[in-house]
This record gives sequence, C-alpha cells and structure tokens, in this order.
Amino acid sequence: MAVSYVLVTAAAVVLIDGIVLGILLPRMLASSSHASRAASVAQQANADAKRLSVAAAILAAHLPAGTTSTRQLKELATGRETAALGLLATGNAAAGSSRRCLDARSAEALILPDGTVLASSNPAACPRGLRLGFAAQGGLDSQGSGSTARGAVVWAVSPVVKIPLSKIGAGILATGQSPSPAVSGLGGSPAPVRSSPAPVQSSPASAGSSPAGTPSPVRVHGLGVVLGGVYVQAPAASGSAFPAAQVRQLLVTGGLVLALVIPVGTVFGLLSTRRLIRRITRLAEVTGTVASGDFRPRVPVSGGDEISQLEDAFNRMAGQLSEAVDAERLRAGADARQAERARIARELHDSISQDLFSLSLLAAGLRKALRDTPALRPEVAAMERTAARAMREMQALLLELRPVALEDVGLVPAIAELCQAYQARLGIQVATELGQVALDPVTEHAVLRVVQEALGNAARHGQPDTILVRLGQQNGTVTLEVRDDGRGFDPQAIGERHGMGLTLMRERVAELGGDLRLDAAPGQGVAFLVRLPVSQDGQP
Amino acid sequence: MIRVLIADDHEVVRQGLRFVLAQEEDIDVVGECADGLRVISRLAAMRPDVLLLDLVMPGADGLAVLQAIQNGSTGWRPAVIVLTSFGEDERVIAAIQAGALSYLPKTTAVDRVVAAVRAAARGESVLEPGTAALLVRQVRDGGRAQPLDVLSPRERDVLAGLARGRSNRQIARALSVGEETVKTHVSSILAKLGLADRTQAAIFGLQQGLVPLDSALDDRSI
Repeated sequence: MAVSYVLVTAAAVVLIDGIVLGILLPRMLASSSHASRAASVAQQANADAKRLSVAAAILAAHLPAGTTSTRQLKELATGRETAALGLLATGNAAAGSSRRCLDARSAEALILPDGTVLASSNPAACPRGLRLGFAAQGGLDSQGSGSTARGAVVWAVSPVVKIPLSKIGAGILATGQSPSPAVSGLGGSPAPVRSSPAPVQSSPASAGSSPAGTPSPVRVHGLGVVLGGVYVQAPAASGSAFPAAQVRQLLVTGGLVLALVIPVGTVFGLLSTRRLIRRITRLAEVTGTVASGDFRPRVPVSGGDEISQLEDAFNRMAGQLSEAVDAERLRAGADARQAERARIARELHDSISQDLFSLSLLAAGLRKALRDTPALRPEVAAMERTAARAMREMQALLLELRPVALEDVGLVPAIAELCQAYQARLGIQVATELGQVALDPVTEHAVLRVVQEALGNAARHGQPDTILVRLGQQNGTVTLEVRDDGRGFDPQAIGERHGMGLTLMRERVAELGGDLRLDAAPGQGVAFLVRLPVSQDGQP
Repeated sequence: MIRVLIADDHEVVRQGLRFVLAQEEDIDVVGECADGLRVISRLAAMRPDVLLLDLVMPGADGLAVLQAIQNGSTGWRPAVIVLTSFGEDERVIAAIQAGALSYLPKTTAVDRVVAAVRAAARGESVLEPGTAALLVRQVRDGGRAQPLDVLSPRERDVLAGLARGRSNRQIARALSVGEETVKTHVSSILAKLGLADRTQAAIFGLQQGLVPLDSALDDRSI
C-alpha cells in the first residue's frame, strides 16, 4: 500500500517537472539561437552599408573633386543622410535601436577602413575613436563573435563603397530615401578625428579619386572604392537569453531534482500513509479477532473520515454480535444447568435412592430377625433411623434439584406446586399464603430458588411438622417468609455445610438489592425473611 | 400364607424386600422378576396373591404389566401394590386407573410396606398421605375423568405439539421457552399419562382430539 502511494507521488512530481520543462525549454532554445542573432546583425550591417553607399555617391557629387575618402566618410558621418537613417552620431540611438530591433546594449558604428570608429550609435558600448582592428581584417566584410569587457558579442561589418554616380541605377535611387536633400546639408563642421594610419592592404584605388600624398586606406570593392564600413555589434546573449551551457545546467539540475524526488517521495509517502495504514491494520486485526470468536475488542474511533465511520460501524456490529452471542450463551448455559441438575437428580434417584431403600429394608428385616437378641437391638434401630433420615434427605435434595418450569406457570403457581410436592412426598404440612406480586423474570427465579432452598433446609435439617410460606407485595416491597416449626439451630454456630446454602441465598438476594434475615434459635424453628424492593413499573 | 411375587429391576431392592418379608410368618415370597415381560409370562405359573410391582423396569414397564393383568392376558390376577421410586407420583393416577390397589413410594417406612402386603391380600389399599391427597384432589377436581385433565395447560400445549409431530426444539420455539423446559414437560406428560414415548403421546393427543386429525400435519401453529 505504501509503495503505491509513493509511486503515485513520484509520478505526480515527474508530471509537474515535465510541464515546467515543457514551458521553459522552448523559450530557452528560442532565445539561445546564437546563429539567428548573428545573421540579423549581419543583415543590418549590410543594409545600412548599402544605404550609406548610395548616400556617399550622392555626396561625392557635391564635394570637391579631390576630397579624400576619409573626408568623404566624415562628411557622411555627420551628414543629414546618416541622420535620416537614424544612425550613429545623431544621438537618436533609441529611435535607431527601436527601428532595428536592437536593444540598448547593441551598437552600430561607422568605421574607417582601418577599423577606427568614426561615429557610434552607442558611445558607451562602442566609443568614437576606438579601433576595431578585428573588424577591418576581413576587408570590412565579415562577421564573427568575440568577447568584450561588456560581455560576449556578435558582430558584423559591411563595407560602405563610393559608387560612381553613373552606376547607380534608378532602382537604387528608388530604394534609397530621396538622397538629394541630404546633399544640401553636407558641409557641416567636421568632427575631430583621431585618425591613425592603417596599413594599406588593398591595391591602389583604381577609381583614382585619392589625392596623392595622402596616405589613404584605399580598398577596392567590386563596385568602387571602399570608404569605410558599418559595424554592428549586439550582445551574444540578451538578458532573457539562456546560453546552451545554462540550458544544460538547468537540465542537469532538473535531473538531480528528479533523482532526489524518488527517495524523498518514498519517505514522504511512507510518513503520510503511516497513520492510515496503521488504522487499517488495526481494524483488520480486530476484525480477525472478532471473526475468530472473541467479541470483546473494539477499535478506537479517531477523527471523522471514512475510516472512522468504518471503525464506528464495526464497533456497533461487534457489539450487537456480542450481545446476540451472549444471549444465546446465557440461554444455552441455563439449559445446560437445568440439564445437569436433571441428570444429577436422575442419578441420585436411580441408584442411591434404591440403595437407601434397600438399606432400610435390610435394617427393618434385621430388627425383626433379631427380635430375640436384645443386645443388638439399639444398633439395628440406629441403623434403621439413619437409613430413614438418609432417605428423607435424599428426597428433599431431589425436590431441590427438581426443575420448575417457572416461565410457563408463573411464580405463585410454581411455589404452590413446590409446596405441594414437599407435602406429598415428605409428609410435611406446608401452608401457603401467596399473594400476587409483580417481579421481573430474574427476580422471580431468585425468589423461587430461595423458597426451594429454604424448604430444603427445613426438610433436611429441621424435621418440622409444618412449614409456612408467605409471599406478598406492599408499598413497593415484595416480602417472602418461610417459617418452620422444626428443631431450629443456633445461627452463630452453623457450620460450613449448612452455611453454604445460606450464603448463596444471601448473595442472590443482595444482588437484587434486597436483604435476607434469618431468625433461628434451637428448638424454635427457623424463619427466612426476604425483602426485595420493586420499582413503579414492576422492575426491582 | 400370602404368596408374594417381587418385580423390581434393582437387585438390592429385591434382596431387601425378600429379607423383610421372610421375617413374616404369614408371608411367602414365591418368586422374583427383574423385568416386566417375565412377570407377565410367569404370573399364571406362580399364582401370587400379591404382586409388589416397580413401575420402572426393562422389557415391559409396570404400567404395561398392569394393563396386561387388567385385560386378562396374564391368566392370573394378583392384587398389585405399586412400589416405585420416589418422584414418580405423576403416575399415581395412571397406575390406579390401570388397576393397582396400593401405591407406595420407595421411601415408605418398611412396616407400612409389610402392612400393605397384608392389606392387599384382603383387597384393601394402603396409601401414603401425600398420595392419598393427590387422589382426593383428582377425584374432587377431575370428576369428569377426562384423561387430559391431569395435564397442566402448558403440558397440553406441548402434547398438541407432539401430536403434530414436532421436535422439542420446534415446540420450544413456538412456545418461547427453553428446549430443556419442553423436555421436562414431555417427561411429565409421559409420566402422568402412563405413556412409553413421544409416539404414544402423539397418538394419545390425536385420540383425545387435542389436534384435529385432518389438520395435524398442515397447520404450523400450535
């Protein structure tokens, strides 16, 4: 059971883990697409370089013929055209970046052929005058990635070429944003340039526009003389991006968490189900005990959940079972006791009574046979008397053992019948004064037993001529009196043998809340007086 | 001489009776029998004047012997003194009705037994006071001489159950009493009516009309 709980818990954890990963992983993968970012940077550099190339062609027409390409580029950097593009020195970095989908950490710069930054959209990331040698190495047409003091970046550079105006088709002009107004704006104050000589890597300019003597970094592009380049740089990983290493780390962490979940889940499952399992185990144990016939144990009812309902129902069921079985056992016990009494009575009756009768016959025969032998006469007489007394006691005993069908006839007729039997069999005059009484069956039985016991005592020990049995009810008290005129005895001196029956009687009466009084004196008979309280509804 | 036959299944009792009666000069014990069938078969041969008869015997019991004597199948009619165990007084009526002259329990003083033998020889009865009282009450209360009158109302209910072929358990359930109580009632019924077993009791109940014969087996209530 505990194992299944643990498995369920673990499965739930795995499920949640899966959902979390399913939501996060695509975002991680999307933001970590390094290649796409590099491509967009290159694309931007290329597009802006083309625009500036067109602007440069237009500008060249307005500049004096001998203007150096560096000068041209500077003009371009400060020119209206560049501003119109929202680029570089306009200071309108925000507008530019929004247009180009670059964030604040990105930078776009116009660089000289040797890599020196001429103008920058983001001076903080890419200050003017900074020399980006690596960008110039690839002929101002390259891209790559690297790390700066501000973190990893991807970058791209694209050349700005001075194209002869004649080569610019209508198509190019049409795509450009009306370059003509920009030309009039040229000639603004030139920005100070800290120019450093760059090694000339390209062949001498074939366009022939560079004045002699001026060390001009001239590169020749397919279209014309290379004036400089547009450099675009962007952080390799933006704030929300997850680099691959981070993703891997996350996955490893997730795996570790998962590996921990199983044992932790096991322990948690065991702990959380321990009480439940203990209660069910206890219920199962008690059920087993009851099933095997012991109806005493009960389960403690705890809480108000379904299990406690089960416990409560079980307890009630066990209680009812127990009562039913007890009642059956009681009835069986009463039956068994009655059967046992009947068996003892039969045994006494069949064997000992016959022997006693035979004994008295032999004694009487002896007395007659020894008529002429006076010496033995007292012994024979004693023998005859003893046999007679034994028979008498046996009769009384058998009467006491006699089953009385009390529940059939009622208390008063049962007592009357009992008295009749004593009178008929023992020759004792039994007078009765029996009034109707209202008693419950248990008390009725007790009263009858007391009468039986008292009559038996009187018959066996007192040798009375008459016995009076009186039963009545007055003011909520039932009184029973059994009085004989026999020899009586000294209550202080009654021995164990006679005391036993009396003690039992007394206990029986006391159990029913009544009391038993014994009036006896030698030579004055014996009187039993029993008083039993009766409640209003007839129950004692 | 009074010729006496002793019929009792207890040897000690036969021995005692023989010894006592042997002391009397006018009494002659002509024989002893330990079972009822033997009594019935030998009565004609022994021709006793007085039969001292125990009611409880193997073979045929005392009542069967009395009935055999009464209907003449024994070929000899002695005066019968029933001398039976204490506690059989329910059978007094049945025994007297079956022809017993005297009825003495085995607690009777020995001299009274001897006196009863002499009385029986004269055709007279000797009864213990208790037995006499029982008979007096029977004559006074049961003048109609209905055999069922000896039964208590409850015993009649039980007998009706027997007549329907019920078991003790079934009767106990129907009367809401214990099985042992029913057993007591059945013993009492058999004793009072002088019947041998439940089958006889059932037949008796039907004979007496306690249960209508045609509905004895189909009515489930008592």
